Amino acid sequence: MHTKMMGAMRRAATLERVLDALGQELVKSSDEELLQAAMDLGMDVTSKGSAAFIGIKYPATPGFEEFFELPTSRRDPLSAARDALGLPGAPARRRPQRRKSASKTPGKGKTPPRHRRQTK
Amino acid sequence: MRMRRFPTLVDTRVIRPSEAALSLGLVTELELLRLKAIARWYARGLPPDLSWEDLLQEALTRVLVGSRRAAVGVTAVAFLAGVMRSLRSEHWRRIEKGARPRRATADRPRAERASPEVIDWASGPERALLAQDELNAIRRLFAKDPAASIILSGLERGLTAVQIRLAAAMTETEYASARKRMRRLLLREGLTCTPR
Repeated sequence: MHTKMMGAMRRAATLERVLDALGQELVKSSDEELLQAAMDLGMDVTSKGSAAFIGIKYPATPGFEEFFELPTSRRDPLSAARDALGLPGAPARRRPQRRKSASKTPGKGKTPPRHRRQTK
Repeated sequence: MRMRRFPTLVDTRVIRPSEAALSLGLVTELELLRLKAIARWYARGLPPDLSWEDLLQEALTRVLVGSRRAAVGVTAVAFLAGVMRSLRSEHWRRIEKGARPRRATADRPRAERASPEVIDWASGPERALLAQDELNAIRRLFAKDPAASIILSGLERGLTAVQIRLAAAMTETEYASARKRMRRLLLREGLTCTPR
């Protein structure tokens, strides 16, 4: 188990190292190199509606998350179960609001507030 | 018969942070394109609920609202790249924190009870799988260039530029031109809109 976990950690660390090192290359790249790369793809970045600006000036194609609920965006099952059972730590449940009585005070058209109601 | 029109997924009345940054002159169009390439690069190996677009727009938002402030002398691209990198780490931290089941206080060992904020940052198998997939994809990206593949395997092992050059018996010029080819390939990949 320990060996497996170490392997997993190592792979993640390797990816981070590669991303950091080559990410710096992108940061240091010049405008000329960028234009050259765009030309290789047949993109004219000087034109207004260039495909290079997808995701920047106009939205990219919709992803999975637009249509499906992904596991990472779901609530954790522990707090969901806590909520369902009403255990401490869960946000207080809101009681359904009672409907106001339909009876109206004759002649006035509006029920007076409770604190102003006269008691006999 | 008229077809029913579905509402669009994106509300065009909302100004995107990238558009706001462009209008305010924080970044130029070419800088935005470079940032797109960087965002696509840093989004590698992340779970699918966080896209490169989210990384880029969130980084720009943080700069626009003032929660991240650039130091004097740092270029906009370098600064925003740093913000995106930290957002990436932040996302992993959030996932790992949420995924760890919390034990009841009575079940926790005494040492853990004394410091309840101690969090185990160990990587899960999902992260390792994602990392392995991405490493394979990056290797495939440079597969046609032998010099670039050597440099990549050196970077994977954590070697410095000098160590890679010495190990591969490359001259300084050969190394520099291989890095230039890699940069161009990365920019080309970064400008596309294809999902990886």
